[in-house]
Amino acid sequence: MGYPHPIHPKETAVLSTHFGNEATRDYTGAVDRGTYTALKKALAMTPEAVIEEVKASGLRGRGGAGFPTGLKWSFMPKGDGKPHYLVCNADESEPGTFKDREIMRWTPHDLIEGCAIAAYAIGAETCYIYIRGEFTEPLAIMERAVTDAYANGVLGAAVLGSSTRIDIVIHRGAGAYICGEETAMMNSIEGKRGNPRIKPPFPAQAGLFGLPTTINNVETLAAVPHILNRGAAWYKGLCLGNPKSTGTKLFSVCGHVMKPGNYEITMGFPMKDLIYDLAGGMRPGRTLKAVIPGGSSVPIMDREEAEAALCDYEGIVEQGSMLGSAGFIVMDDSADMVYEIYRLAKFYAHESCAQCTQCREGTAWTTKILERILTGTGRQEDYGLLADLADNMTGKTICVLSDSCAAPVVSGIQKFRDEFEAYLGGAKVLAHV
Amino acid sequence: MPTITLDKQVLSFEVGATILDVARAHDVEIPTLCWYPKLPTVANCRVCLVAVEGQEKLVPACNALASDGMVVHTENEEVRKARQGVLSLLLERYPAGHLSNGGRTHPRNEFEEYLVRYEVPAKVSGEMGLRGGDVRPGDVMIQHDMSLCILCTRCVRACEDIQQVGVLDVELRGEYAQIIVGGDGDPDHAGCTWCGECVRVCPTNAIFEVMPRERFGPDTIATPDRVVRSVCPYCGVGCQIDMHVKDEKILRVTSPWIEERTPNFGSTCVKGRFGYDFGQHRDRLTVPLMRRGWVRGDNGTWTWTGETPRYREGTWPTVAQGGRNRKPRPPERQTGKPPLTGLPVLADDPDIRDRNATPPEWYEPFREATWEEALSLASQEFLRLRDAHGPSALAGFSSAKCSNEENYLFMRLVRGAFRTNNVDHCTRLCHSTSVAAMNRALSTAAASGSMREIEEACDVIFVSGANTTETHPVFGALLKRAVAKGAKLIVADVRRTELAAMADVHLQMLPGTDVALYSAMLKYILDEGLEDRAFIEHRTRDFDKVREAVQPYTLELGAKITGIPAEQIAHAARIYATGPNTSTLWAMGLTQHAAGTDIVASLLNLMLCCGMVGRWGAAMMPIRGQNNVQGASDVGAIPFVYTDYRTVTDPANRAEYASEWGVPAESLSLEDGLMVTEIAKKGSPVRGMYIMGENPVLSDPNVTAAEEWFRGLEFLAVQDLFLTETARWADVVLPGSSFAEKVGTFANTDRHIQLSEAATAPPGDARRDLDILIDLSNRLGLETTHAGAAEVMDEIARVTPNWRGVSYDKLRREGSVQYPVPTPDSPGTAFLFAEKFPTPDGTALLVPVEYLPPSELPDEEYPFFLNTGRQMYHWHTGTMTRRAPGLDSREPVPVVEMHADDAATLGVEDGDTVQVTSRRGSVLIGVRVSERQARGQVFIPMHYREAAANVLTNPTLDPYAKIAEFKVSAVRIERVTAAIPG
Repeated sequence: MGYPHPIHPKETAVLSTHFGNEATRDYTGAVDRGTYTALKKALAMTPEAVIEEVKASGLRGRGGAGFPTGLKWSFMPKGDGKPHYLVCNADESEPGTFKDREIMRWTPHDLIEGCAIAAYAIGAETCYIYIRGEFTEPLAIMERAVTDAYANGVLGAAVLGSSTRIDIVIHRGAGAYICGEETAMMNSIEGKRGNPRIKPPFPAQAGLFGLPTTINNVETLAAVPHILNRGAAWYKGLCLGNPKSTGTKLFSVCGHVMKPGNYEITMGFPMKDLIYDLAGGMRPGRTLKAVIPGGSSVPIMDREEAEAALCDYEGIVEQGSMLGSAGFIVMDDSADMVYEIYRLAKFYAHESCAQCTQCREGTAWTTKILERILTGTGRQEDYGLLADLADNMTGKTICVLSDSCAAPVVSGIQKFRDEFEAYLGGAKVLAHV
Repeated sequence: MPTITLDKQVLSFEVGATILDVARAHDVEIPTLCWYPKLPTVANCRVCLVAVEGQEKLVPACNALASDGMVVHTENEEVRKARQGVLSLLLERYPAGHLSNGGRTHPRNEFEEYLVRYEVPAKVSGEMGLRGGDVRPGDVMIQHDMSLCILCTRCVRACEDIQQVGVLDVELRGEYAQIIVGGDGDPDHAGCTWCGECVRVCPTNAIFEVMPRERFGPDTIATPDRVVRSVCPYCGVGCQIDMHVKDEKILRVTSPWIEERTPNFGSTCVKGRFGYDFGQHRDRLTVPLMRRGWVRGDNGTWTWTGETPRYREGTWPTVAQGGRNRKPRPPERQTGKPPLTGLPVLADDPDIRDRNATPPEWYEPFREATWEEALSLASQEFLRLRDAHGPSALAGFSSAKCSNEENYLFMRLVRGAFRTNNVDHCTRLCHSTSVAAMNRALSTAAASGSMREIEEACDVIFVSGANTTETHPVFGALLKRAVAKGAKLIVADVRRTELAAMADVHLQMLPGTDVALYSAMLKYILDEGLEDRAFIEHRTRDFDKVREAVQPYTLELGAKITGIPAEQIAHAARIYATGPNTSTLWAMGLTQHAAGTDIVASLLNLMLCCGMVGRWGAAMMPIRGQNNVQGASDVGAIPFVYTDYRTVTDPANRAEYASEWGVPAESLSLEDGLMVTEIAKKGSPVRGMYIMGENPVLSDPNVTAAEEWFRGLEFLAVQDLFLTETARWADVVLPGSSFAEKVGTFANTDRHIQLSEAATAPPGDARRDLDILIDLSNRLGLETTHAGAAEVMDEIARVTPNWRGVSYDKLRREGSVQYPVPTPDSPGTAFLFAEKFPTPDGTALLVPVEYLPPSELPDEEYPFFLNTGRQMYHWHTGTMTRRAPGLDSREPVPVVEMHADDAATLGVEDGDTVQVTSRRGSVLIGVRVSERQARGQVFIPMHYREAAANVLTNPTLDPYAKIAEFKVSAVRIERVTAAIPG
């Protein structure tokens, strides 16, 4: 698998500079282009100074929640004498999202460097990289890279010759979407059923194996070396007007566009340009109908909202959805929205860990109702039933999986009611789903 | 103190409390389904959501911490709506047909109560279908109806966290999630112990007890006439249980609420929850029986017209002969997931064990008698023998299954009316060596601490010769919880028991080599300077003698004798000595040896030299076997002492009891009486016996000889529930009462005196044991006017300084009390010896002991070590448990456990029959290949009359306590192919 497209002039390549470049992905190639200089720099700083630098950069979590990374690191207790853990969340399972995969494929040493810096900053000697089970190629590359990093003294008892110890353990997931949720991931690493944990306690108090833990997304950690190398001010300056969303971000665009792929743009970039320019726009004769911008777990945007939105955390919220993991699922006018929503609900019903009542029963029931609507036995009351279920599933459970299932249903009915009406009125019916 | 506003009430709370904690402390009810006290909080049902002002989302009260100034609404519109949402989602998959027409007035479980309270309509779309899960088909104790399951996972956590077993789990995801039993649906494979903790916590009865439902129907079970607090009749843990009674029948047993301060914290084991039904077995004796041949003359005098001299014959095989009958194969255990349809329904009478019931021919020598006839014969013969042959011709076996009051009146009868101290009970076969050693060293006869301190405060647990998870399962679970919380565990045991397998160090010694082990540990500790010098100096005496005595026991010698690697002994010694708080637990593995007293003494030396007693967390704990073996000893049912271990040889003591009983002091004997193992022995002076609730024909060592002896008695009266192996030889059988049919107190292993209330009346003409004792005492000329058990306890309190504050009022008020209780307002004593020991000078005596090998070791002719003991599902001679169908279904036939290599050498497999022969006798028995056995050692449980272990055991006695060497004898094992004539 090669990398599909050359860098577009409107992209701001930071993380993706070397995507597609075979020559720079092994250890020697990576070091030649400057990897591990930031780690060296970090080791010369105090952990507090590293955290301050990351705080100043405005870097926010790239996994979906957008929590300020430096602040998250600062929650880790200091001088508590306990082992700390860093967990790198590489369980990229969100539908429509495939950015972390490319980081691991092309710049594994940048990720290792980011992990090492973060581990140093939070006082962790062990970092787990939890890689999605299906990512066999990235897994092989990362395993090779970690081996090389040990062999060259980047990892182990004396990181780059210092007195700091950092070990990286690669843990392969086993196929559950929910294990991408940070607390379920910790359970999974511990060998338990991948159920999200209740908070409190928060991971920084009692996380992996009951010890203080920070969990960061691959893209977040991969950005850290660049921040240390080029300075927080540079990173912060990459925003287009909104100082709350800084830096660059990889946007995975898929669906009904001419050039699907990962595009690295500065925060605040217009979504319209991303879809119509970078991603090549719609297929001939087709028009944009809807975008689900944050992987599948956010409300659906209709065409007007999508075209008006700016691609950053706040810009997408203004248009009624959320940035999430920035996996854009683009749909043109050929899409059957009822069916698409059904597919999403079915996904969540399949992936519910089954702890919380609302999620376990709600996702499955929602799916069954949508299935019924599609196959011609829907009823007008189903709107109310779906709304009731969505209400039960929103904001009442341990993790947000059930919220994620409810969001597209609620926004879909609201924005594409006519398509539901077609099924309920008998104008349209599928033989089976 | 911080405060929180809960529905307009301002309430203070301790930091760290959840909103639910605060609400519960102030009787504000917040509904909960997945939450259960003491279980880990998982907050998955979401029914306890509450609204907190300033927080966007509802929060689960069970997990949200209260914070100062927080304003919480537990029942506003938003909250109610959320709860209705949760409940209606659960209802959608719940068979709720009965709730739609009238059923709402009778909610059947916690979940249905919430449905009613929150006015959730019983409307179900039917779209979702009922839930599935593993069902345990055909089991007579626990089954599952998983369509009722709401996946709260209480059962999973109760099994995992309270019982530390982990049989149950959640399988699959989303709507397919369901509760499973182990990996393959087979509870046996998953290690289920049928404790029923899952039944207790289930909020919907999805997991339920089978036998009550089959016998009485679910509606009857739901509406008992009364629920009576009782004490479990099995082991020394002393679990409090609740008996549900309707129409004078016990419907079922439940355990107290988990937050009540009971010794069991609300748990039970399989016997406590499912072994209650023996009392209702059709074998129960309901009228007195009298051996044919006793004829009453016109003057009212009874004359024996049968064989003379007395030697009783029966048409049945003796225990020894029965042992030579071929046994059925043990049933195949289920494997694999069974189909979910076509479940077998139990028959009306789920008693599957007819073969173990009293055989009809045992009744043949008897005729039914009236109480007047039975008691007049007994009193006539006892008085005749006493007057003709002197008081020492009489003896009585009291019972560790009977209450303190009954034991007290029994020993009062033997001492006051028989005028002998020949009164003893099964403590002789149990912890008598512990009592002897503890009395010598510390002047005490009971545990120094409490069971709960081991979970709360102990750092190192040293378990020696105790298979606690099987013999005292509720305490075993507590030990496992302590280990899960981080306590270190050292187990000294010849078998690889469940505890041994999870121990930090398992000292798997050769049988009977304990003294060498503890001496080697102590020498290593002294050599390394790990002993507690201050404790030795201030609180013990004769240390130099012990130091001298352990000098030969180097690690090398210890290793050579015990077979344990030297480094393991050293490792264990270091852990033991460095605690900081080490608790020392032991049981039959130490005591049932001909050197039992020395073995316990050497363990006490180790404990004392390390200073591991007299602190909360450092408990000395002989784990008592029977539910009242502690109490029976405490109230003086042993040959040398009155209550409180006051010696019978002291005339001052005699005077006090004589005055209390209203008898002349001289009528009470100043001589120590005979012990169990001295009484039932060729050449003993005893000619007549009164046995209450004991079965020596099965429990004594070398029962072939014992049975012979009992058959030759001039007069034998047995008081029991059933026609036992002993009672079938009696002249008079007095039908007594089970624990559920009388009021009485029992003392457990950590000195809790507990009151057990009467649930039902005794069946037929059977009488309460206390009433029989009062009646018989009066007939024997010992005036006994006690109106009931409470009055007997008042008398015990008067003559027992350590129990002086005990009364039924206090017990009913406080539930239980740990003695010493010197005054009525005393709160009891959780642990002893903080300052000094009850010896004359307050110090403990260290007693030098020397290792002696067991009296019978394997040789060419008898190459195997035989060990005997208990199984989880049975109790002692099986009189009770083999009449409890649930228990008997788990272990229906006797087996000999052996190592796979030994089985291979013998050419036998699981289920094959072998003949086990010792110098005393021989039994046929099935083989169970077991990873618990060491090579060269086999184990036979003591419960089965058809293959009685005690046919084989060695009757060599400990010189001090006269306990027999039950734990070590040499046997030969042969494969049996053809049927052997009986």
